[in-house]
Amino acid sequence: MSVLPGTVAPGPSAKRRRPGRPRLAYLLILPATAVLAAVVGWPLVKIVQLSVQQQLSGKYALFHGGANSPYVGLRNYSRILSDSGFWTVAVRTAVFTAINVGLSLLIGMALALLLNRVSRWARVLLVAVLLFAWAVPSTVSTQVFYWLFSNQYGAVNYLLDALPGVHLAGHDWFADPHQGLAVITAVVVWGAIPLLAISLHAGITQIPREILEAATCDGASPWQAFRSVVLPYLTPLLVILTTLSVIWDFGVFNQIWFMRNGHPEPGYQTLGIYLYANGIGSSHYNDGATIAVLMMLCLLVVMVVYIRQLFRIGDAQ
Amino acid sequence: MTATVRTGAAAATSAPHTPSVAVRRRRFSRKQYRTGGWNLVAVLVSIVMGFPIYWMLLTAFKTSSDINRTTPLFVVTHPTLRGFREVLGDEIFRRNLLNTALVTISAVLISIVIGFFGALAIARFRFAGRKVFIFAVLIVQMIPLLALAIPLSLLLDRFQLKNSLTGLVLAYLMFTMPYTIWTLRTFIANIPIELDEAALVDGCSRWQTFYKIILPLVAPGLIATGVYGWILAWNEFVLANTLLLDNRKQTSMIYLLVFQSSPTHGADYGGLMAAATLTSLPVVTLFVLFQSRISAGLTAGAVKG
Repeated sequence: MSVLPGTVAPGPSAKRRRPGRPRLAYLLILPATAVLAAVVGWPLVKIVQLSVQQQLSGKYALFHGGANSPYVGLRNYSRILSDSGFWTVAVRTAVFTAINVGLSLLIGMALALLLNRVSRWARVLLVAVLLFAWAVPSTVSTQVFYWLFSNQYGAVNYLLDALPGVHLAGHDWFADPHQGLAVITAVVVWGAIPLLAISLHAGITQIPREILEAATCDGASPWQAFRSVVLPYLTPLLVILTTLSVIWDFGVFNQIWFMRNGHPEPGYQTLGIYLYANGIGSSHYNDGATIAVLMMLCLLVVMVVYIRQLFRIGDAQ
Repeated sequence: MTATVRTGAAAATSAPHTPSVAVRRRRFSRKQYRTGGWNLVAVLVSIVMGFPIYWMLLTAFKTSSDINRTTPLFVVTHPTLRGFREVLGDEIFRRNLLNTALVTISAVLISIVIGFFGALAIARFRFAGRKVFIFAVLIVQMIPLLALAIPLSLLLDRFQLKNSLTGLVLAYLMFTMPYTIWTLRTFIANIPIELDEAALVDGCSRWQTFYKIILPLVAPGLIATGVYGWILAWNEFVLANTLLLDNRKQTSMIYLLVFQSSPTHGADYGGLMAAATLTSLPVVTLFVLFQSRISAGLTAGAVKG
């Protein structure tokens, strides 16, 4: 089977889907529809409803009749959108996402090209390491990075301190949220690289070799060959990988939560953490619902591109 | 090796005249030299990428005096199983590991059975509402789990399923099911429909066609989606953290966080790394065993956890 979604060739029978018997089809999708309606549909409706209801404090109020609290229109939205704290968090999330996506894609692409140039044994070694890094849960890798960057006995401080002109012995990376977020970026990027590198490498190997060779014959530099041959070929795949990376990095939660032992300081808050702290943690469910809706609206913009790409592939089959 | 041969051939075809043996040999060696350089880069990258995993395993087997040294030890001198014994001796950890397994297996099995039917419908039938169904499945994959944590907890509370593993399984269906449907759809779509038709012509019933033709051919796809669904569910943290309150009912991901932040375990990195190793072991094993299948399934569904 084809490895790359962007390059799946439509089978000969693609357009001849069996007509008729729709009743059987409806029967087949019934269970899935029921489950999705219950665990996604209902909560989605509920979250929009909560976001336009009066703010209630405390779990008790919400769980016991609070669901019938009066509607207040968009008052929750205007309160949150006029809060400067929200905007600080939103901007931080945007910057964090941009940096993480950019770094992951750059390094992922560099490793994909590297995989294409090395000997077989080196490729096997690197792919094996990438697979292990890919498989480790983000909660676990965050614990490991926390320990690596710990100020007292952490290996990173020790190794960096050994470099000439660097003095990092006993340095606390988490005292300054910017440095702390840099460490979190390291975990996120470390975890994201394997998927990107391996799928991009698979994409590169599908480029017809003759085309690359022709480019080299015509005197193209490696950079020119990359720009005018490799990149155009990889564009559909890159669109999907970029959108997915944006979606994941925008919603990063585990890495920040674990790095701060479940109590992220304000300087560490991205939208996900902000939603949890202001909505669930403090039982302000209506605020939480409002932030959740705002978050989904932001993501929807990215999703449009993604869904269109997926639909094009889906239609091809 | 292959790279050298390939570029040699390319050089031969590219040059207007057949290059002399001496020139060709020089090109070969320059190319080999360059490949050697890239190999070195690959080894360095592997060391950097692999270091966190190495450090986790190393710490898990270190004695506490070796862990808390101002000069970190990069090898293990006195390997010990103290960390592993400590967490495995903790009844809560064993309980949480079992919970994780139960929740994961249930969510994956339910998703596969129900998702398979859905995938079959969209891959093999044209019906009104098909696009709407596909759209719903795709869009659901993009919703941040966190956003739905509040209403899910309300819903489960209403049915007295909050703080229960059954409730968590239902919540997990939210992300395992759409992925399963979408990925299995690709696998089914890749089976030529002529096979179905031939079977029907030969007198098979619809059910027999499904049972004798589609099911065996889609088996690799079922494994791929099952394993990947396993990874997603096993690694989930946000929903488990929101929906489960009782520590005997929690999953191992929450155990890790509680272990790290509890005053008694505060700096017990040996125990923490042992717990981390044990927690990731099932996932890493499955992943490495089925990695080629998973990559295919992943890109088919274009989803990651």
